[in-house]
Amino acid sequence: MIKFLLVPAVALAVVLSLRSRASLRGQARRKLVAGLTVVVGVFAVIFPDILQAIADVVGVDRGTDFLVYVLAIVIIYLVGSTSVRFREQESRLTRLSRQVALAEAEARLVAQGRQPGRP
Amino acid sequence: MSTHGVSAQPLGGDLPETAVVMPVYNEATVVRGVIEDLVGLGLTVIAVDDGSSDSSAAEIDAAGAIRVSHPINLGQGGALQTGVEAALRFTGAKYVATFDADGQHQSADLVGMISKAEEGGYDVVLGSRFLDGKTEMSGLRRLILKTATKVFNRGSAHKLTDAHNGLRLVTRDVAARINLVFAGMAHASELEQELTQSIYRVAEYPVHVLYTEYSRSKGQPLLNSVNILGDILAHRVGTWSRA
Repeated sequence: MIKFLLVPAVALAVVLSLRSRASLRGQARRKLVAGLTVVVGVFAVIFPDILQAIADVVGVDRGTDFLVYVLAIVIIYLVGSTSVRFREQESRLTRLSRQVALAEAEARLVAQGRQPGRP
Repeated sequence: MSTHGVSAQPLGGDLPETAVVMPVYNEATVVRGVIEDLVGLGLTVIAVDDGSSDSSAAEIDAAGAIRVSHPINLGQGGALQTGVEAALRFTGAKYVATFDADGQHQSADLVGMISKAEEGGYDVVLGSRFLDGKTEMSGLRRLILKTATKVFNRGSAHKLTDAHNGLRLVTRDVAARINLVFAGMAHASELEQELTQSIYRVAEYPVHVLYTEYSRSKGQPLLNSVNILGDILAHRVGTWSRA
């Protein structure tokens, strides 16, 4: 049973994380995942029996195994969405550098008396 | 030296005004000769210095190109996009071409591509190393390029023989619509995809690429194809589209 849960969960984590973007929704989702991880972690420490009970329901031998699976999916999601954020940051930096470069070149052309020929 | 307007055209033919975009990253030893060759033909060269740490910028200025300098290194795709925008902004060029700074492309091929675009009324003319047997390359490189081309051709309106050639010529209208998302090397496929939309009239032109010791040492390591593929896949999953 756990197989049928894990495989779609991993796929969903990858797709959701890559689609998260810097949108408010994406940011909120990241925060929810992070917060939930903490809360669930605390509960798992205080009431280890709950973990075992869930593990029994989904067909995993031990509660700790179940925890590892869940953490793996959380990590996949966080790594994916972080890389998306990183790429967005990179794209902003690219556009900024381009504008700086073009402005500097234009100023230099004008200073040299080479009229930048506009169509 | 002026790179604008009329200059000597030793070929005798009246070349329509063409801006040649050339990404330059640490090519100080060769870039001057490459630019002077093109300027001598009456072409306007837009050299995008992509944050070079050597004397590339000084060499570009000495060679008579319009220099646009990135404050930091962005990668070849980023440099091409900057160059295209500079060409539209600083020149009235009818055509915009892309040309490698390492000396592997021949200016005569570019002139031939301009003539082809003029005569055939093409929007896009792409260089191909596989239309004739002039370009010598290793078997492995040939295999990789052929495979990349096959993958690229799937679902594309125009079938190309060489999907990763740095020598390209487009009209001003097409250039104005180029919008590269990837700053790194994945731009090669991305640019080809933008240029081969079915609305454009596309032609290929046989070009001769010289793989010198220098260009080989600067070329893409094979492993970089993993980076390119990763970028493209992540982008497609992220946007649910081919573009």
